[in-house]
Amino acid sequence: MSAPAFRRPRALASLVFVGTLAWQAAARADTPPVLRSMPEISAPAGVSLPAGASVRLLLTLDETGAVVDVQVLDGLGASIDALVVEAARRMRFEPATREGRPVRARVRFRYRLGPAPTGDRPSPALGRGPALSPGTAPEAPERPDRRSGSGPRRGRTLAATDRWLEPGVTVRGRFEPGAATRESFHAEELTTVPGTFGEPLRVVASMPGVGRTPLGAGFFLVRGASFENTGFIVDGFPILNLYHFGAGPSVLAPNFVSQLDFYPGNYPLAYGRFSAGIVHVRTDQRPPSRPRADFSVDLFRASAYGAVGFDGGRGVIALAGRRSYYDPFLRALAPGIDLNFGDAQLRLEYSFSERLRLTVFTFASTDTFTVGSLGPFIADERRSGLRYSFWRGISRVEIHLPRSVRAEWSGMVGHDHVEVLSPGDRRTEVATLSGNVVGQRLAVRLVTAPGMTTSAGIDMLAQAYQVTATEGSDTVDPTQLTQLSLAGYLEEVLRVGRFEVTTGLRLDHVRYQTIDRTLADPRAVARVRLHDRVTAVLGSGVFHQLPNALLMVAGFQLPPQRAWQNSLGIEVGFGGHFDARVTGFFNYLFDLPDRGSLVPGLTPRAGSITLPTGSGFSGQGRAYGLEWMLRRRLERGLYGWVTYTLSRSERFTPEGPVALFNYDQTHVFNLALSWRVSEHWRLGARFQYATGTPTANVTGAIYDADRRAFGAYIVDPTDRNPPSHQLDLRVDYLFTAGPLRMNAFLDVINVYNNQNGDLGWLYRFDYAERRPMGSLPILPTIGLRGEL
Amino acid sequence: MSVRTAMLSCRRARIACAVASAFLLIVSCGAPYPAPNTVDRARFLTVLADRVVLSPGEIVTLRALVAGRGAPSTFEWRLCVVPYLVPAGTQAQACFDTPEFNVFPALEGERGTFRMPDDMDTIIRWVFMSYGRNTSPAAILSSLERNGLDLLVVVRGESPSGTLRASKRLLLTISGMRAPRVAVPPFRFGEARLQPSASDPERCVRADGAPTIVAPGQRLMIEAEGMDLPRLSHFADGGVFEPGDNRPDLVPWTAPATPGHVSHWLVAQRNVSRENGPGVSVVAFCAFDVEVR
Repeated sequence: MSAPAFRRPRALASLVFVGTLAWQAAARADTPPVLRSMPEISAPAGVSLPAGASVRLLLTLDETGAVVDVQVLDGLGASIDALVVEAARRMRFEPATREGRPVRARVRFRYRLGPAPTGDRPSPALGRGPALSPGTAPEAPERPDRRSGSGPRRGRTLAATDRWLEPGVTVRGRFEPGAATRESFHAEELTTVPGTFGEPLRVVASMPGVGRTPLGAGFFLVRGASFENTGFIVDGFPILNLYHFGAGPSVLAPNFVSQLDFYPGNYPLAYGRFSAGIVHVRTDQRPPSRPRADFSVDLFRASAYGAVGFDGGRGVIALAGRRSYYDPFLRALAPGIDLNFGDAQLRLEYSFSERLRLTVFTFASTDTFTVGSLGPFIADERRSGLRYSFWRGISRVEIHLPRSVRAEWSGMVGHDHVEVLSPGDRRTEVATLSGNVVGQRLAVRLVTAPGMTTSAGIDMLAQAYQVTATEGSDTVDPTQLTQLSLAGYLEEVLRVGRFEVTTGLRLDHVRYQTIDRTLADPRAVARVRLHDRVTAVLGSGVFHQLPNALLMVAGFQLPPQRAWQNSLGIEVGFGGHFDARVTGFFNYLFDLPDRGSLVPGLTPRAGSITLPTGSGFSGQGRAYGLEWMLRRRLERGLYGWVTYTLSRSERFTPEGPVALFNYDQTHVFNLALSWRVSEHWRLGARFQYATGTPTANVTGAIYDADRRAFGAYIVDPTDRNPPSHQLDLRVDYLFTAGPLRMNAFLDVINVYNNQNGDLGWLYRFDYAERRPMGSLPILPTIGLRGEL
Repeated sequence: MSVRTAMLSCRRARIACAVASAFLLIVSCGAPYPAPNTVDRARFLTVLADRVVLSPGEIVTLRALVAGRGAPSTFEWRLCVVPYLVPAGTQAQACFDTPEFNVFPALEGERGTFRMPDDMDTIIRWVFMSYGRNTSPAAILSSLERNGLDLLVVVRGESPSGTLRASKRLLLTISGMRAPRVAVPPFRFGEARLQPSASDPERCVRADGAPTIVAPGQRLMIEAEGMDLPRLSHFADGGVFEPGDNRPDLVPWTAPATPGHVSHWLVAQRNVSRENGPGVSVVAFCAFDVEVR
C-alpha cells in the first residue's frame, strides 16, 4: 500500500482520539461552589441600615464546602461586620469541583442586609454560576449595586434569601497553565508577614528560590540570576523599581493590591523581557458601598487612602499618598545623609455593564538617597547617591464576550528620571537618565474546545531615553537611546485526563542601537496528576531579556541576554490546608557581557593575570538547585510557610575559568508564620538564614608606602562572607474606636540584632582581623492603622 | 489590680526594658579596631629608598622601617616593572606572585640593592612587557621621555603574627628628572620641642638632650613647625591618637593610663609631581621615646 493511502485512516483515528479526549474533558467539567445553607442573624437593636446595604466578603472554602476563612472586603462597621463574619463561618456550600473532584475555592460573597433592590437577579451560585477555569479564571466585574433609595430600617431579622454569591466566583488553584511554579498571595497574607512593615510586596523575599538581598533592598536574586533579571510588573507593564530606598515600602499603597503572583521561573507566555522570574502585581478597586478612608502612621512614614463610589456603584474613584519622614531624624543623627521617599496613586474604575469595565490607574514615586563626600556625619554639598522618580498611567478595558471569551486591552504611558550623583572636586557631578516609556497590550482567551483553551496577545513596549552628564565643569553631550520591543504570543492549554500540557511561542521583535532582530521564546509546561494529591510539573522554555539601558548609554553594544530555564517539581496537597512542593531547576544563561566586571562573578581577581578578559559578549552562566516549600494556606487566622533552597550559580566564558556568581548562596531557609490568636491579637514571626555570598579570600595585606594605606592580599579560591540570620516579629492589636476599625502594630526587624554579613567582612586596617560588617540593625517600629 | 501591684508591674517592665536594652547594646557593638597609627603588632611603617627617580645605570638601595613586637630583621626584596596588564590596585601582588615580572636581580651580597639597566633595548623590552605588544617603538620612546617607566619594589618579611608585605614605586627616567628631598621638620610634643638629631637624623631629640616625660593619661598636641610642610604620619606603640581637626600638622595624642615606655615614629613624605601616572614619593622619618610616669 502506498504511503498516501495511510493518511486518511490516520487522520480519522486522530480525530476520534482527540474527540474522545475532549469528551472525557467535558465530562469532568469544573463547577463552582453552590450555597446550601446559612444561618439567620438579627441586627442589633438601634442599628439603622439603608435599603440594599451589604457586606462584601471573601470566603475560603475547603474541599467539603465548609467556610474556613472569612475576610471583610467592604463592611458596614465593626459591630455589623462581626455578626456577618460569624454567620458566614457557619454557611455550608457544595464544594467547587475541578475535573470532577472537589477542590478548595475562594468566593467573593455579598451579604445583603436589606431587601434585595428591585431588578436584582437571584443568586447565580444556585446552579447558574459562571464556568470555572482553574487557577486563572478571570473575575467578572462586580454587578453594579443599584439601590432603591428607600429609607432606613431598624432592628429587623436578616432573611436567608438576602445574599448571593457575586459573579466571577474564582477557584484559586495552586496551578496556572503555562507557569511551572507560581506563588500567589491575597489580602491578609500580604500585609501581616513580619518584617515587611505591612508592605504587601515584600513577602517575595521569603519565597523559595529567592536569595537574601543586602540591606533589605527591593531587588530579588531569583534562582541564581542577577537582580536585573527578575522583573516587576504592574498590571502587565514593567516598572523599574517596586520598592522605596532604605528598606522602604512598595511604591503602591497596599489598598490597591489585590493579588501578588511570584513566578521564580518558567513564567507564562503573556510576559517576557526578563530572563529569570517576575513579580506580577494585580491591582483592583471594587466600588465600596459607602465612602472609605484609611490612614496609617508609624515611626518612618505616614500614608492615607480614600475611595468613594459613584453612579449607583458602577464606578469608584480612589486616591492614596505616602511620605516618609526620615529627614528630621537623619538631620539630627547623620546630617551627611539625605533619605526620603514619597508616592501617590489615583485610580478610576467604571463598569459600563457586566461585560465591560474601564480602569485608569496612575501612580508616581520619588526617592532620594545621597551621602556627603565627607561621610554620613558631616554635612557637605558634594554628594554621591541616587535620585529616582517615575510615573505610570495605565488604562485597561476588560470585555467579557459570550462563549467564555475574554478580551483585555491595556495601555501605558510613563516617565522615568534617574540621577546618579558623584562628588567632583568642587561640586556634585550628576549623570541623568530621563525618558518616556509607552506600552500596549491586547490579550484574548477563549475556550476553543472542551478541555482546550487558547490564549493569544500582543505586547508592545517602547522606551526613549536621553542621558546627560557632567564631567568636572563640562557638560557631556546628551546621548539618545531608543528601544522598541513588539511581541506576539500564542498559547494552547490541553487538559486530558490526568494530563495538562501548555505549549506556546512568543516572538519578540526588538530594535535598539544596531540590533534589529526577532527573538523566539518557545515554552512548554506539562502537568501530570500522579495521585489525587500529587502532581508532577515539568517546565522548559527560552526567555530573552533586553539589556539594561544604563549600560547601553555607557557605550556598550549589548545583545539581548538569553536564558534556557528548566524545572521539574512535585506538588503535594496534604488535604486540610497544607500543601508542599519540591522543585529542581537548571537554568543556563547566554550572551552575558563579559568585559570588565559587567558580569557578576567575572570580576577580576586581585593578583591574577589570567583574567577572563573575554571577547565581548560570550559570558555564560548556569544555576541549579532544589527548592522545598511547605505552606499552610490562610485558615482560621493562621497561615505560614517554611522554605529551603539549595543552589549553586556560576559564571564563565567558553575559554575561561568557572567562577561563582557574586551573589551565590548555597543555603537559604525561611520560616514565616502569622496567627490570629484572638479577636484582638495577631502574632507573627519570620526567620531567615542564608549562606554568605562569595568574596575574595584575603590572607594578608600589602602596605603601599606611597599611598600610606593597606591593600588586601588575595588568594583564590574564593572565601564567603559571613552567613546571615535574622528574626523578625510582629504583633497586631485590632480594635474599634467609634466608626473606625483600628490596628495598632509593633514590627521589629532583626530582633536579636545579629551582625549580618550582607555587606561583607569588616577588616582591621591591616587585614589582620575581621568580623561581619553588619547590616540592618534591630529596627523596631510601632504604627497605627485606621479604617473608616 | 491594686495600685501597688500596678507599680510593681511597671517597675518590672522598666527593669526588663533596661536589661533588654543593655543586652542589645552589648551584642550590637563589637570592640572597635585600633586606629591605624597605633602600633600594636609587627608592621611596616614605610619603605625608604636612597633615590626614587633613577636614570639608566644607577643603583638604588632600599630599607624598610618596621616596628612592633616580633618585627622581622631580614627581608626578601623584589623589583619589577609595574604590570599594567593586571587589574588596577593589584600590581603589587602580581609583582610578589608572578616571577616573570621580577626582571631586576638584586645585586649580589646587597639585598634591597638593584642596578638599573643602562641599555635602551632592555628598557624598551620591559615597556613591551608592561604595556602590551601593540605599541610601536616610536611611541614607547616618546612615552619614556614624557613619563618614564614605573617600577615597583615589593618586600616581604616573616613575623610571629604572619607575613608582612609592603610596596613602593620608583621611576626610571631618561629625561634627567630629579626627585626633591624631604626631612622631618622640628615639632612640639606638648611643651617639649624635638627635632632630628644632627648625628642621627632618624632619631628625634630635645635640644637640651633631656628625656621626654608625660603623665599617665595626659593629652597633648603634636605640632609641626615651619612652612610648606611635607605630609606627616604619626605612629606610636601606646596611647591614642585622635583624628586631627583637618590639620595634619596638629595631632592630639593621649598618653596611656599606665606608666611605661612609648615609642613614637614620625614619617615625612613628599610626592614627586607628575603629569601622567601615579606619583612616587620620597620619605624620611625619625623615632623618639616617651616616658609615661
